[in-house]
Amino acid sequence: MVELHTLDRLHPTAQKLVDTVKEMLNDNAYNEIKSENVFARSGISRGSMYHHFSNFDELIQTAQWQLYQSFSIGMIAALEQATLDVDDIEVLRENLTLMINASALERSLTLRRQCVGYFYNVSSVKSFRSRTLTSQEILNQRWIRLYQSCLDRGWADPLVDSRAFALMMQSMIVGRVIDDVSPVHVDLEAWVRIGILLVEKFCLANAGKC
Amino acid sequence: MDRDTSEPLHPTAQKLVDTVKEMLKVTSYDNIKSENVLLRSGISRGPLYHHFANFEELIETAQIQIYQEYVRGVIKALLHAIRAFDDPFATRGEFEKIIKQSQNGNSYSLRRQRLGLVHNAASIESFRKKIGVTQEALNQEWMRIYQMCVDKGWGDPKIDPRTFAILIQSTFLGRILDDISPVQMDPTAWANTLIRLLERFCFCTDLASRIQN
Repeated sequence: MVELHTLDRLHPTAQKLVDTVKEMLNDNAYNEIKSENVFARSGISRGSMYHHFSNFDELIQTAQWQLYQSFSIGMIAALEQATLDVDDIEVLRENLTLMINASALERSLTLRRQCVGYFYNVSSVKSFRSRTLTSQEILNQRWIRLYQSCLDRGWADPLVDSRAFALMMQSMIVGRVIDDVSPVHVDLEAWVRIGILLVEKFCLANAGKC
Repeated sequence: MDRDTSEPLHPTAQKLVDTVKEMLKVTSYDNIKSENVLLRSGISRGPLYHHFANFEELIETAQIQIYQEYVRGVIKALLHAIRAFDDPFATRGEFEKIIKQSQNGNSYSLRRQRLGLVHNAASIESFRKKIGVTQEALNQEWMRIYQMCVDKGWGDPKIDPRTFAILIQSTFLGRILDDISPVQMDPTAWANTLIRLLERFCFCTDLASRIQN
């Protein structure tokens, strides 16, 4: 069971503001969202907002954080599911393949864009980082744990740091956005192949065929 | 304003961009004010708005050029390392040096700016067209690196070069996830991982694996 200080339950008014921003994030980049539009759309006043958030940026960041939380909780659950049985290499291979397939399909263009927007906003404002990172770290730990299990069984490449592996797997979402903005795209199947290749070449590097 | 960023800029525009690039060496793009750019470059506001839709566009153009130069520097060195040796072990050694150098302290700022540009491109159609051109140029250069390794019998021909190109770039840029983390990786460990990644793709055939003593 994943323990996260999730969705520090917000006051209903605050959550309403956040929900409004989340809706708007479906169609707009976070840095395009204007406060007037948020207030108009939610029916909540600027004054009320200041009662719950230090400033507009904090409201935006909270919305982004909630979206990312949902995403990472899903990812954590999928990883836990896929790594229930690590002893049998074929079972592991198959489960990871299924997981990679599913996550590639689930991650819509919108979600990808939102994640990257979230990372960028957090990278720009230091004070946003602390809250953010609990769920990020839990997700890292799941990947690290997988890599460690493979290391323990002599399957994984010992020259690669397990945290680095965790980062590499997660950076695929950034890669998909790089692809999104390229005029020529890599197809979905290729993305799945990339994910599987990374698992093969790192987690299962010494487990037989490469 | 749709600009094909692969074409050289008008000298005045480039002078403005060069000025911003100089300033970006010491300060963040958020702190750069148009008045200072104009003062420093000796160019007046009129010409600025003649060449750029707005001040942001000037900043973005400078960021795109800086990033391109950085990546091209890495790619040029890698290409040279491939051409210079017939022995994959020697090339691999060179790759290692190049990658280590590319991951210096300055690279965080470049990553962050690049992520911002990619994010804007993903969000705004007109911006995507602009970034798309330079992005594709970078993709092509990475693809070339992979193709050369395949041609030399070192890389796996079954892997699509574009796949490699995107993977390498996403790993380079993905380091931002570590940058924003409270617990950060040892930079040496990260550089080693990048090197291993390159090795696993560019030097994975039997031919390449035979290590010379």
